[in-house]
Amino acid sequence: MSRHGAFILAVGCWLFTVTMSVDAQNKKTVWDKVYSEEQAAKGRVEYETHCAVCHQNDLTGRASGGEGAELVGNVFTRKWEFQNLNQLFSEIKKRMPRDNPGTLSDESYLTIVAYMLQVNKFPAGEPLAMNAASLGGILFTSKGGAGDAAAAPEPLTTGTLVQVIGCLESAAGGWVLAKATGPVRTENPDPTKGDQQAKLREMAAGTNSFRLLGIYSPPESQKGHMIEAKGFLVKDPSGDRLNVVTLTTLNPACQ
Amino acid sequence: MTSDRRAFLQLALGTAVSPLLAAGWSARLSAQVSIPHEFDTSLESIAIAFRSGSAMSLGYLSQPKMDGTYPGVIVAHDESGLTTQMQGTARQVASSGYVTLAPDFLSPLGGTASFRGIQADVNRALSSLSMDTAAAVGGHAAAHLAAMKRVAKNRIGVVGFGWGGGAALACAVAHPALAACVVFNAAIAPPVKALEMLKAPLLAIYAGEDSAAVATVSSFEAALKQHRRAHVIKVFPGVQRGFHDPGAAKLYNAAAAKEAWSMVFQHLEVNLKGNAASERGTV
Repeated sequence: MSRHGAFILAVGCWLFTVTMSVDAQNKKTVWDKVYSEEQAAKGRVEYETHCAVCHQNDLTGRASGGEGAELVGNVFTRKWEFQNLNQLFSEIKKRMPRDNPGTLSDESYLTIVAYMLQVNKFPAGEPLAMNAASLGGILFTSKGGAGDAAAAPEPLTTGTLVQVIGCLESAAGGWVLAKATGPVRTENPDPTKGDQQAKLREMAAGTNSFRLLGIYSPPESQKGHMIEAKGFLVKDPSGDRLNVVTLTTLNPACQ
Repeated sequence: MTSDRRAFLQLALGTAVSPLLAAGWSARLSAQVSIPHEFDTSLESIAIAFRSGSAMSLGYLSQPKMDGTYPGVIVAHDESGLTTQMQGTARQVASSGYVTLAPDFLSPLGGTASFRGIQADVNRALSSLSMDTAAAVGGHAAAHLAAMKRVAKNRIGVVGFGWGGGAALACAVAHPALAACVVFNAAIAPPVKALEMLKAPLLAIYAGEDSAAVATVSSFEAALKQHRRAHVIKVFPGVQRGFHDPGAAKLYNAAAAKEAWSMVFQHLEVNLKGNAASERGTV
């Protein structure tokens, strides 16, 4: 499928007037376990087939260089605040795929909605029903409602996939990322590319240090480099560690 | 420059292409058991992170470099976790013409590597992991494979060892679109009702001296027969758990291992590469 043939959710093109009616307060929300993991798994396949080329595999869209809108995180959830899932479903069906809207089955659109809910960390439970009234009864809302900007971020825990920038150094018995930034949650395990990578190069050195795990072949050729590491965080009182997925050189020198 | 756990492949270009690969996948059926080197240039083997419910999981992906579409196989690790030995097993299966994904079921705890090699802690962590959770992770691994362009979506199976044998069976029960299931040395005491859901033809292999696992075989087989599930159970007498693994020096039994792996690859060939697979649904 061409890039122009892919899904582009043009949610950014609309101006929503957010009003929350009394009726809305009585409805289910996306926090009420309204989709099933099986639906989301099917939706992921549909998404990666029809949408990911523009919206990116991790749904970050334009935020990471894609053509499509962001479908994950605060930007997305705030755009849909207090809309209902039938509105989301109908908009996707009406506009997507961009060059051939409405050509997927209702079931496919529904599973894509389920996958979007999953990636946005809404809890799974019972399957979404393919029924306009039922979908219309489920409100899209961020946890703290429209004023969620002040909500505390979810703390990083062991097992979270994170990104860290630092200097690669050898240490007794292994490798360490020194002068490192604090870990930042990510859902994209692949190395950052393009303009976003250029921005990473400009980041100031941090004060953290992470012992690196899961490195079977010594990365001698990257020793002393400024590195973007992605991996699974291991919180440890004696020093946090990182179970590495990728190590990418940002700069052959490191301050 | 990008590297990962396996991404020094470019530094190992002098490594010979696997002769088994060059000779064709079916030749594997009669070959001696051998584990491809991590820099085997016929394979691309890397650490990945894949979506697993609302979180991400660590996994080890190995696939033939040769162009083509391949069946997928989930490799469920044993009670030692996703070790270098299990990664070797994933490569071993991949070298016979499969895209393999070995999930690290300990990802929520930072992955097997985070346990500093303390086996007792790994065992304890895995024993606290429910088979429902393991089946869910296996399902997400299957979905990841199914989303790969070079994987045949209706030709995905699961192979598990020890603890992972139970996980593999739980995965096959929970995800009926999986087309083949192989279980090594797993003490299986499933609720009889669960086996009603098993669609994948099952191959179960046991070491005769693994008394704890072998003790479960008769009840397991009776349940399979009761529900008329397609299965083959093979107990290799006089060999220890680990007999199939060339890396387990004192436990490895070359003759039994060769026969066991021949059975495994034949099972996968028939159910993932043969006509039976094309009649199944998509994962």
